[in-house]
Amino acid sequence: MDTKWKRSRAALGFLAFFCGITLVLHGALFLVSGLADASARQYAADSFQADWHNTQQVRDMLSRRLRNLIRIAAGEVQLNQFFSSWGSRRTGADLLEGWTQDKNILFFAQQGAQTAYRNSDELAPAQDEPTAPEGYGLVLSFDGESTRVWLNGRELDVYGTGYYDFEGTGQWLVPGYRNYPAEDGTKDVRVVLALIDRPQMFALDGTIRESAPYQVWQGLQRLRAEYLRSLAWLAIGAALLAGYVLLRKDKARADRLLARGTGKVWFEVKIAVLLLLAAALLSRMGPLGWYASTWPAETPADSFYPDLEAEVYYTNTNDWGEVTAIYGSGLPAERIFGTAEYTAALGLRDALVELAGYPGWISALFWAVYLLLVNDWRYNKRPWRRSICSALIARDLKLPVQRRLNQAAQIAVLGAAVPLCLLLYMVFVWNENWGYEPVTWCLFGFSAVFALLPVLFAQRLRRLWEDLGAVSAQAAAIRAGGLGQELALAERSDLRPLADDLNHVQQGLRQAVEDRTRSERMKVELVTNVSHDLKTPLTSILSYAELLEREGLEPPAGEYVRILGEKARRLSAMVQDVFEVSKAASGQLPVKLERLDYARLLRQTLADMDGNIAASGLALRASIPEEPVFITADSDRLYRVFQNLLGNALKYSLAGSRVYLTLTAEGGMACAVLRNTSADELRPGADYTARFVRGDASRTDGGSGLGLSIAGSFARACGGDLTVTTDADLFTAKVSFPLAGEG
Amino acid sequence: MGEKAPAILVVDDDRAIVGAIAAALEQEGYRVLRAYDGMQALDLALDPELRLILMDVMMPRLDGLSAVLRIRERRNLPIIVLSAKTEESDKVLGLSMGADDYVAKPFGLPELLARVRSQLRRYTSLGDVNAASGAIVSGRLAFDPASRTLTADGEPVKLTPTELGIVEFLMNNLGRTYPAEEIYRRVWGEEAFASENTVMVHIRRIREKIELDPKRPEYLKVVWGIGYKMEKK
Repeated sequence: MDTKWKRSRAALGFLAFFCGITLVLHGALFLVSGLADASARQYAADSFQADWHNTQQVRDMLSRRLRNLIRIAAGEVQLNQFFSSWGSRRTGADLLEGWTQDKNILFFAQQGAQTAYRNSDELAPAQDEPTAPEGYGLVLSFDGESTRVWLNGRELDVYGTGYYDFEGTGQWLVPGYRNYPAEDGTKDVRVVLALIDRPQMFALDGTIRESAPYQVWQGLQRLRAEYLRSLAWLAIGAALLAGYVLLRKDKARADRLLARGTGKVWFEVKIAVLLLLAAALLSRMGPLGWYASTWPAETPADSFYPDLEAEVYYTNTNDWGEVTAIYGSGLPAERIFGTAEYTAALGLRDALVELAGYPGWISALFWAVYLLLVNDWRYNKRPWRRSICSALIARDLKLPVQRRLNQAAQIAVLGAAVPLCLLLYMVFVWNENWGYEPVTWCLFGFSAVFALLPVLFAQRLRRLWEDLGAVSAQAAAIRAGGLGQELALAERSDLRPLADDLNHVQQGLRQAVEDRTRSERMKVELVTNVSHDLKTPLTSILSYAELLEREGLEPPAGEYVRILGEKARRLSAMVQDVFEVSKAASGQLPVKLERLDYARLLRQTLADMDGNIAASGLALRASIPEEPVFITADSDRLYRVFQNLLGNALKYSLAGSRVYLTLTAEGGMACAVLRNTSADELRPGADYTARFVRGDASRTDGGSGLGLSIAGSFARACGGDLTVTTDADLFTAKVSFPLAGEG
Repeated sequence: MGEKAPAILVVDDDRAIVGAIAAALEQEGYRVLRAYDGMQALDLALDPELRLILMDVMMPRLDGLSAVLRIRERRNLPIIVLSAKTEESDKVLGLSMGADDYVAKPFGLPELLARVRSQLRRYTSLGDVNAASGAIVSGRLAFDPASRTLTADGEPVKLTPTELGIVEFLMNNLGRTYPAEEIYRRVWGEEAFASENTVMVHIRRIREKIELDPKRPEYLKVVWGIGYKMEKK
């Protein structure tokens, strides 16, 4: 109930606003157009005259009828002559016939004693006031020199100062002024006219006709009704606006509701509606108005009215070819609506007054502006976002990039073709009148719009290659390991999907790297913890084994203890090896790189292991250059590499065989090669640098199986490489390092 | 050593290790105090007879390094840290916390005993004598240029003339690395030929005399690929 009331109040508020504004607009516009200039004010005043005989329209109508009758009576007009009126051709006789049948104006016209045209026997010329039948209050009489007018038996002052003022009002345009005297040919013409008090319609050839007096009488009544109606509209509108002010909060709700509706309308449609309405209104004035108003420029070639009206280009005539009084007899052409001169002379004020004559269009434009611009922009955020263009772009973005660009290129080519065609047409089919044709300018505007398309495409291309640069820079950054910064392209960029995919790849990579780093760290932690946990009991075992050894136990117990101690020490070494190899494998081995002499390192190592070599019974053949071979490495780690390699060679070589150690520096690389003949058969294809791989798979002898693995890890950690090859029983280990420069 | 036998505090949460170390130390004639966590160690460290502490790092209640820090506030006696952590950084951390030596687990008893002896000798008999007489000191080692004698933990070391020449040269240039040819030329006084092996043989012999663990030298070091040096400590 409550919401229903609220809703009706909103509707009421808006309705009051709408009706109030519309009514006030209509009333005000009518008054503006009705009171803008002197003649309009005259009409307005006339429409409120108690006696319609006192109006300018009646004066003009009767003056014209009098002038025409004077000419006909004087024989200046051939009655069988044709004249055109509104496309129909009539003769003067036809016209006279109509006048004769129309008893709203009684007339009598004669020249001398010969010709007499009359439509009533009751009307006759007299020296003073002619006799007129009852019901005909206004009587005109022309005596060949001047005209006299009686209204209800009282004579009116026709000539005033004696001069006709073309700008003035309230005058009779009849011969007899000093600046408009009667012509010589009409000296013996007598014309009497009488106007009925209450005009009637009459029938001619069985059809009902509206006679000129009837039209004027009705027009005045209608005009008065219209003025009264506009005043009523203004009053009602003001009252409604007062009601709106009371309900303005509820009306705002209605505004929001309307805005929700207009928000769904495409922006281009709104603009088109507004432009069409504005164009429709503007077509009533200005250059478009000129074009629209050239149509009635029909000149009566054989003018039936060779008097003052002959100067007037355009005259509005009624069915009878009679010039109705509405449009300015005697007025300069630029004051007469519809003439080119009129439009040319139209100032802004007059143009606005002119526009005020179209209150329907104006209020339509007003409401369109209110709904589609004012209200829409007040309640809808960025209303231009919902447009055909953005809908097209959204549809466009769903296509693959190559198709999208292909379409855009086609449209651009099409767009370039239109102005080009126009140009060619103008070059080959040039017409000098083109500059004056509005169609030409329309065409120019049209092709200018098309010429925009290639420009837009060029812009799009530019953005495309800028984005392409950004994307490839991003790809390069990812390749270089930069996983932090994501690529943000504009939402409408053609490469947006590509950038999004790249960001996804980057995210995946980052995740993978993080996972790997975490798992490596966990692995090292695990090995560290395990080796720590192994070391504690090992310490006890070692210590007690040594304590037992000191006891000097009797054999075989002493022998057992010795073996226990020896194995415990080996186990201890192995634990240390495992720890180191796992650290090296996870890349967490700290290295201290320095420039050192590879040859000296090998000589020192050989000297250091001199005792072991001698004890092994093997012959070591070393070929190491005397001059220094500089490399960059961690000296302690590299020593461990060769300690392990030599240890391996000494341990696993065939008894009495020779071990070869050579160092060469060639092609920027320093290569130390250690070759020995294995005592056991080597398994071809085995990777000896892998962890826990040994020549003998059964693993019953001394080594931990980590020696080569540690050597390889250390060599790589120092920036070198260890490769192991086997050829039959020949075991070859090659440790290579890039040469460091002199100095 | 009799009734004035020096007392040594052994701290480790592994009772078996404490037992083994204690047994070895008692065989050597030391009196041994046993503690199984840092708090116990703090209590026993107040014993006036105490001459040296062997301290494990990872222990419940109070870890070894914290215990070392707190003991250092009260007492100035040698502390050897025992640890299963063998990283260089762990070693540096232990020494910077106030430990005098650092032994990595698993260790051999002979090595541990040698370090204990070394620390005790320095603590009990080493004064500022060497420094006052202009001797070159590096850790346990002291070389008197005037008398051309080398002492390790205050004990004179017997060296052959060649060995003495090498030691004199390297002690005079502590911390600097020399290639074998240079050492040969300086010591032997003639141009070198196949000097690497000759020098290395002497180096090994000197290590036997001055290093606690000749296989893992702390003073006379080989810088592989460059030469030899006497570590400056």
